[in-house]
Amino acid sequence: MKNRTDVAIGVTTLFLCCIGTYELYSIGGADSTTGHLGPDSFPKVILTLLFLLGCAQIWQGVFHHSHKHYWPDAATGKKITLFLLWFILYCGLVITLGAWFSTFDNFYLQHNAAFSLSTFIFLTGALPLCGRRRVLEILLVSVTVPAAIVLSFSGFFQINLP
Amino acid sequence: MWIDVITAIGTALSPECLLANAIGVALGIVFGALPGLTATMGVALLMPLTFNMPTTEAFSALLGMYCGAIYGGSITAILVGTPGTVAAAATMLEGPALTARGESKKALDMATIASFIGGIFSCIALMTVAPLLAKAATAFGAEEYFAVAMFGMAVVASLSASSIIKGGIAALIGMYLSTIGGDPMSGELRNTYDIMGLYGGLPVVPVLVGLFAVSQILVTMEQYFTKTTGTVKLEISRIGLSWKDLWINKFNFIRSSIIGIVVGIIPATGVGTASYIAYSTAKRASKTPEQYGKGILEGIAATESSNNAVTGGALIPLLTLGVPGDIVTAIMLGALMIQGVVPGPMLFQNNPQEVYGIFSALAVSNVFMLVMGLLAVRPLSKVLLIPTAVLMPAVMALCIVGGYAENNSTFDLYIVAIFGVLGYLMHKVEIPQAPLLLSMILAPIAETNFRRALVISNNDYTVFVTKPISLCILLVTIGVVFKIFLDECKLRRLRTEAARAAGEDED
Repeated sequence: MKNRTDVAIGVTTLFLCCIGTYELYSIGGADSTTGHLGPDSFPKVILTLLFLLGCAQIWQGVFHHSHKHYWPDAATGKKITLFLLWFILYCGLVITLGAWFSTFDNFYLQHNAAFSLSTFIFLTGALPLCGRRRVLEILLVSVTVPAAIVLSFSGFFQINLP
Repeated sequence: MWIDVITAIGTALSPECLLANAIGVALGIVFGALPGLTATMGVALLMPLTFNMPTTEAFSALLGMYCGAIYGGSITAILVGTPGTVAAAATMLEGPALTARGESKKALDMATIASFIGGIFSCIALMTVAPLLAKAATAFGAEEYFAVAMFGMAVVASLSASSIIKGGIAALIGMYLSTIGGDPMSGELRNTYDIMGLYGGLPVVPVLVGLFAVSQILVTMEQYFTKTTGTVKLEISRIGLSWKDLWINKFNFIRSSIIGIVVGIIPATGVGTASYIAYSTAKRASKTPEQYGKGILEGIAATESSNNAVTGGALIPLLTLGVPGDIVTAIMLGALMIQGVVPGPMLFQNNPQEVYGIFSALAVSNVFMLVMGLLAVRPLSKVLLIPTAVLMPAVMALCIVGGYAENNSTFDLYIVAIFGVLGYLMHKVEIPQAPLLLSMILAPIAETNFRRALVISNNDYTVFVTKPISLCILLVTIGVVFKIFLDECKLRRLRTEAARAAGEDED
């Protein structure tokens, strides 16, 4: 095997094809309203081509040299994973707090509180994760960023925040 | 028609539009200048702010951001030696050498003026070519639209620098994702996996915010964690550009602008390609080609006029055919739809004021870019001093707002997160993200028109080759695919030879 990453890409592509093919069974075929081609025709063509390219990718990974892929070292990988997990938690927090605050009878709590609070929490965690240590700076950024977004988006441009 | 033109110009010059344009350009320069923030990210994040604006005002802001960001990348390329955007990668071949010689102000002024000239040329091309193309495109039927979409997808699949297979995989995944939701002909639900949030199809804005903004932040954070971003020292010299420097580049400006416009019109080729082609053409035409790479203003004139000329060029297929020329115009396609404006040949008949408003807004953006570039480059370049560790988490918060604003749906936040992770992984394994998004937009055009053409022709498959325009476009598409395969074979042969040579060296 000359390039494991290429093989992994090929295997993942084939796996996606399998999932797509499974879902394909739930789609109806052609009838008198759709002509020769039904709703399942285009996905079938795509999945067939994807399957062929997945096989080609595995073949390339096994027999051919290609670019070396640069994955981050363990320490950087850990930091990136933590940052990513923190972001996913942030998304979850926005959704959960949003659902909770929507039960309140106050306009500002319903529309801006979830985003402001979860962004404050996200930034107070993300900044130390990125190596910022000064408490005053962390607090200042964590307060001003959500405040600026709420004022500009919700206040000035009338855009709904999550 | 002239009443529409005059009204549109008046709208584009109204205080609201001018303010939106100025803010867009200033933000664009900041986004372009800051490594890790891109023009795509800027336009994607600015788009939600324009939802409640009238069309011309919205496009004043978006086009300002687009032009400003393409230009802004040159500031970092010249001063720091890091391209702020892909568009400025070629500028980096000359900029840092000029800065090292104490001629940074000269280089920055040349980048500003070249960007302005390129932008204005592209504006003129847009104003003259787009109405003619739209007129011709009114004769287009389903067959021609199918052929155009196929051509776009063929070019899109070639966007992978490392492997055509990876480009193809990305494009096919994009096509598959476009089939999620209702079937365009029968309305039957398909590929929704019984997830209610997918019944209306995969929303484009959260996908692109995840793919291009969140993933880019993760890549930048990785570079920051591995300390490969370097420290920034801002020293701008005092000596500016002379008239002579501009005069000797007059043909260079025109040639590079034309290259930029043509590259912009071809779907999915992008600003990076335009600036490299213009750079190598200018080098070939130069009396002093040996000076290239050692800090020559001609190089900057070529790259910057060509990359800004792409802006207007890329809008031509978008406005006339509804086919985006690049990722940024793909976002603008979404912005037009949200405004209730359907791009295509009928746009010039149905919404003339909006179209001419967009033309005027692009011209105004270029004027603002010139003024800000010449007068405010020193204060604007100070944004480079903002620490990455503070900036990136703050932009992450903006991604949440950008992903949510299109549909006001919390389900879209999951999509932002999923596509953010996917985009980062794609970046790591060198699968290009652009084919995925562009085919997500082009595939429904291809599928709908293919099936519509068959229904109209009573399932006659020859209908695509019996119509001359459709046949020509399909032949060009086959040519493009053939060229891609030839290039891939050549690349593979070179790679094998290099690997063999490396093996012999080790022995």
